[in-house]
Amino acid sequence: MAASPAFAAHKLVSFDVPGSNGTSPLVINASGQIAGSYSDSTSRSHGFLRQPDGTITQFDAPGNPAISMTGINASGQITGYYYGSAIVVGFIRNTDGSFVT
Amino acid sequence: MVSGNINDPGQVTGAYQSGAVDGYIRNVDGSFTTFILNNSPITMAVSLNNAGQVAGYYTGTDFTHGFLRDTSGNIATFDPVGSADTLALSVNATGQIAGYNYDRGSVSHGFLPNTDGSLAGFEAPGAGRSLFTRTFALAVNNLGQVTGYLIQDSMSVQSFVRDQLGRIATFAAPMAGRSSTVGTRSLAINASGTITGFYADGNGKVHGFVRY
Repeated sequence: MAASPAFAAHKLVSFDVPGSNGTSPLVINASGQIAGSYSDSTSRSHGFLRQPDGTITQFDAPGNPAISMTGINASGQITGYYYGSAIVVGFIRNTDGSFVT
Repeated sequence: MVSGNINDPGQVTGAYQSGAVDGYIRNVDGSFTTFILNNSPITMAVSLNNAGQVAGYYTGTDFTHGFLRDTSGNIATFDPVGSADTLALSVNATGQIAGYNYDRGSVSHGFLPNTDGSLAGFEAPGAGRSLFTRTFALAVNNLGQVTGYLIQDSMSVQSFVRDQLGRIATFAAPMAGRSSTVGTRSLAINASGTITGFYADGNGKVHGFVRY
């Protein structure tokens, strides 16, 4: 029986968002794009998108609130939420970097 | 309002608070479909697949239960046998749902309901048997592979992947600190079986990883 993909030889690659104090990948899509959050030197969280080639784009929701990611689809649209002034706000981050809340 | 995941057509699921916490689907045109289970104070819609099926959990009068909502709005609820709280967290293209449940002793177990409704509970090798330990299944891909993490009795944390045949492999990032309670935690798996998550090194700093 051929090994399933889960049990075939694999490698584990570590990565960090440049300048981060902590990097937390949260979701991955079919092409291998990874979205997550990272904390800076003041422990404030920001978002990131890692491409399959390892390049990383850092981003923030409007107003630079604490942010977390919950999904990424095949197109690279990212969902998540951030902490607004009084409420938690859900968002879609489009591939052009724009936000829909 | 909390957004859950987004499917390839662009539908988003999640939950919002309007007194109670209700589930929602945000459709591609921006309209919302909302739903609540059994007058529950908390309906958490967490994951949806490309067909629009939604998995999540709701709080009943006693415990928390898992659910699957189909595209017509019909909702099926479920619990593994002996479950106190059931957290359905991920649904794949065939409607398989991965998650975990706490038994009456607050020990967690992974589960993967089959499409016929039967439940396949499982434990990751080495998972603990004490309070708040054991197996936490978090994500399932379209092949039926499940990933998550396990907490041992020592509180050490490792990751696991369960293949579609039910075989389970555990792994840890080589750079993970041995004494860290963060350990190595897998959170997501894609259709190719690539897994992502994070680990803490010996100094407690958290790093991302991707496992190919």
